[in-house]
Amino acid sequence: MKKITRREFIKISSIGTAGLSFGFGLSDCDMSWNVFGGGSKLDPRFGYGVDAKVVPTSCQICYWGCGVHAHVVDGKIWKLTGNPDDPLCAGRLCPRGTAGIGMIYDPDRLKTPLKRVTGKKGQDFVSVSWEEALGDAAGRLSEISDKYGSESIAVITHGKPGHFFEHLVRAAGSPNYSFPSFSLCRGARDVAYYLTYGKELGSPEPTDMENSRVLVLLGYHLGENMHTTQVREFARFLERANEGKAKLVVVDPRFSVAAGKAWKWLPIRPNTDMAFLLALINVILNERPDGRALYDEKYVNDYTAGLEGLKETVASYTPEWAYPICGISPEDIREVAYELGRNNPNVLVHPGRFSSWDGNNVQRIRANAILNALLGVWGRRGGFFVADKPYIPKYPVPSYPVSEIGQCDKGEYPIGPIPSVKNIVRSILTEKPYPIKALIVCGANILECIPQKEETIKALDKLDFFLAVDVLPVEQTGYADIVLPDCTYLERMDEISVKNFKQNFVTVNQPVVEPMYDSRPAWWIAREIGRRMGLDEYFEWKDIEEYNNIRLGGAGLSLTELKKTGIIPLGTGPIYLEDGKNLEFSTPSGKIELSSSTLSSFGQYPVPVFTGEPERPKQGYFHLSFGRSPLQSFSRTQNNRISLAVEGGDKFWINVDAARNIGVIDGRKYKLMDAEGKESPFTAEAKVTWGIRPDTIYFTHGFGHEDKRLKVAFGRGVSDSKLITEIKTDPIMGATGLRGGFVKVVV
Amino acid sequence: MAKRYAMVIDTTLCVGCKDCLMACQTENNVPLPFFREWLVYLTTGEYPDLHRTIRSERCHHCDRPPCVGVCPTGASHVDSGGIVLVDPGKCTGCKACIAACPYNARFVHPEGYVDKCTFCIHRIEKGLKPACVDVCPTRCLHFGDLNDPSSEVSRLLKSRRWENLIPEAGTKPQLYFLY
Repeated sequence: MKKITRREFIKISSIGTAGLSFGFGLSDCDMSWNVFGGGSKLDPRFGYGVDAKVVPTSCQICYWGCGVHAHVVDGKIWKLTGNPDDPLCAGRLCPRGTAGIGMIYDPDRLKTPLKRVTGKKGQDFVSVSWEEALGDAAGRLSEISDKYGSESIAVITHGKPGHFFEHLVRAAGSPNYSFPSFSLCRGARDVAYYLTYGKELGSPEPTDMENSRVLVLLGYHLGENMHTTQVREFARFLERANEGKAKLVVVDPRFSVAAGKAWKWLPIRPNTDMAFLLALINVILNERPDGRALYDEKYVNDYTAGLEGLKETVASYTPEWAYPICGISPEDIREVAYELGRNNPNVLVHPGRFSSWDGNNVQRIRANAILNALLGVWGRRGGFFVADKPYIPKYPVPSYPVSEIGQCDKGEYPIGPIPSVKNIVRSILTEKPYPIKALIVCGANILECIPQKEETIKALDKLDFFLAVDVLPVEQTGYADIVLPDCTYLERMDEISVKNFKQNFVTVNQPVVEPMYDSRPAWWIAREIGRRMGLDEYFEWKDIEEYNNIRLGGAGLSLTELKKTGIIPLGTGPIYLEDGKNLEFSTPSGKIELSSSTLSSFGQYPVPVFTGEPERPKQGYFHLSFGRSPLQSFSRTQNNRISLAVEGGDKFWINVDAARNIGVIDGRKYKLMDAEGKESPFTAEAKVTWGIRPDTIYFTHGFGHEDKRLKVAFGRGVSDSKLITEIKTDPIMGATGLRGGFVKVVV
Repeated sequence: MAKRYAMVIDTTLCVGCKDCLMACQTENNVPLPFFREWLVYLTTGEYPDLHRTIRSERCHHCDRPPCVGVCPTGASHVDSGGIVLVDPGKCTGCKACIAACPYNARFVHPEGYVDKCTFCIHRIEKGLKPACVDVCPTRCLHFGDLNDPSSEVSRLLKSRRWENLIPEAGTKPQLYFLY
């Protein structure tokens, strides 16, 4: 069989887009773009306020789901502001949400369904009708399912639009549905908290930073990571820190924005956080600087199990032991431990969100969870609040067929509710334990988020059928057999979101303006494919409004009301122990498990232990670290002309001494080289700074887009998914560690 | 009593997210790639003893605005509440004001006139605050009347340590930075 080389098609797949123009300078790009043509009226008092119609909706850029007021003038969205009634953003969207009109009005959007055809000149995309695209997609999926079994269809999704594709694939009988947000992000954290407290932290996490007296952030760069709720609470915390009532500790190889506001910045050696955490636990359990215990003795007695096992395990993990491993002095470790202990329980060692760092993520976050338990913070002000989940029934659908052979990585990890996205890629390539021949991707950008990009591309090449549902022509769409243009969140309704926070509520996004081009909402696309595959019983709802109405009706609410306000508050009850909250833990012991019987039964360490020092970079190489820009969400916002105009994202941080040693000059552009010696396709500008360890290079995640159809994002910066060549996998739940990469600057 | 509008920026809270820029851009339909506001990040010291300041900046709406004095047509003027504005109809785009401004707060709009921050006067006249103030996720921006001793901005300047930028230029700027 002739090898398919889909890569070529990216270059010629330019349906509906006039001449490709791209460049690296703003002036070369289409940057004069503005929704209203930029200042067509001369009066400085110019404002649209008078005539604007306000539509309450919900932001779906980062999927946090803040409440939005969309202001519409003459059928176009003028601006997006926060819904003041929203408990998450409290009327203030983050920069990505505020700049959301740059997504809906992005001229590079996918405009019509596209289908790959083979002609005399090779393969190309042609624009086809929805009827043809949906019929083809359903036909191909059914055919593959019949030939190779229902498990041979996989889906990778993220967020609201993807939900209905997960439903589609599960209805078709496949257990291979996955989310990058699980195995590449916060899955390890949620499993660790589930093992310890019997409850996953979820999103938004129940942290009560605004009331903390000591807050420790480990590699969690709040302020650059812009979830509105967290940043708002962090700012209230900082206000109290300014008044001398709170202390911030930031443990990060980089002098992050948060580090710049900290009482103590501890530039830890990358991937040694476990040693630091174990030493904190050791001090908190064993030292009595003021003649009393640093841990909350009563709380630990009442609510935890396994103290003795913990004490025994951490006995040797002294600050003096940790120092040569993590580079944080015993004095600093003790000072942090004492501050935490003296101020317990109104303290928090923040669990973070992105937790897929190395090959030991669950255990590292377990150490974090245990530390918090010793300090008695679960259910306490300034720690974790505990709010019961509100109940709104699910839409009634028949139960999904059960796969007898199970998900593609079944049995590999003791806790694996869904396959890791990396293992879906692996099964496509190896056909083991069985072939995966069809893939649907919606709401995720798998070439930017899954490490070892070349391998993902090979997997896409190998598929019999690849369906990409997206708003923008991101690179993965160039490998698809059928590309379907989804609406943006401002043009569609999604399923309602039931939010569990200090104030529970339900919210929904609704169409603010008519869908542009020939785009259709993801729920409709999934349903139409499902019906064509004969899965009608799973897709009986007339439309998303009926679907949501039935769900809301089950809780005595109505969609009409929700559409008017965008938010309906739901009952919450007490959230702190001292206010009468009853603490219950769904763990085997019914208590917070300092020592986990579940892990023990899986043959894993019941208490976290130090399993060895991480690899150090070879001569000329650096640890590869990456993080968020407040203006970017994953890899889906880099083509936004508004935010890109103020931040190109194409800088990498390097320490002054390190730069001097290898001859890197501030402001010049360099390519980076991965551990196998391959250079990045594009350059990034060196930001030579004292604000990073000499052994680490840092850049913003989500850049380095290689598809020219993204006219302004193309060619900017470097991509971590491409530069990470080595990964470690978590033995407990299969998370793919992304902080183990090494890079070199090509000088 | 006449109003004297001022902005107070709490640098201890600012995380440099540029939400103020995004809100200003959409509120005022500023033509890309221009922005009326900008962020300054300063890191001083040597690893690992570092200090960082982050400031959200814009036109300082000076009490003695040099841009107004040099304007040959009267386009640059002081409007109500001390807000410095440019009347695009009178502006010839000569750039004298751009040269005179010590803060580099002005740019030439693609349509030929000079543009800059207006303190969102169209919002203030409706009793609202500037778009940047209303969007700031950390609430580090404060806006109000310094002639009113009970206003939030007056109280902040009384209770906190603050600085103006380039005070030696003698322009009496009305952006106050809290440290």
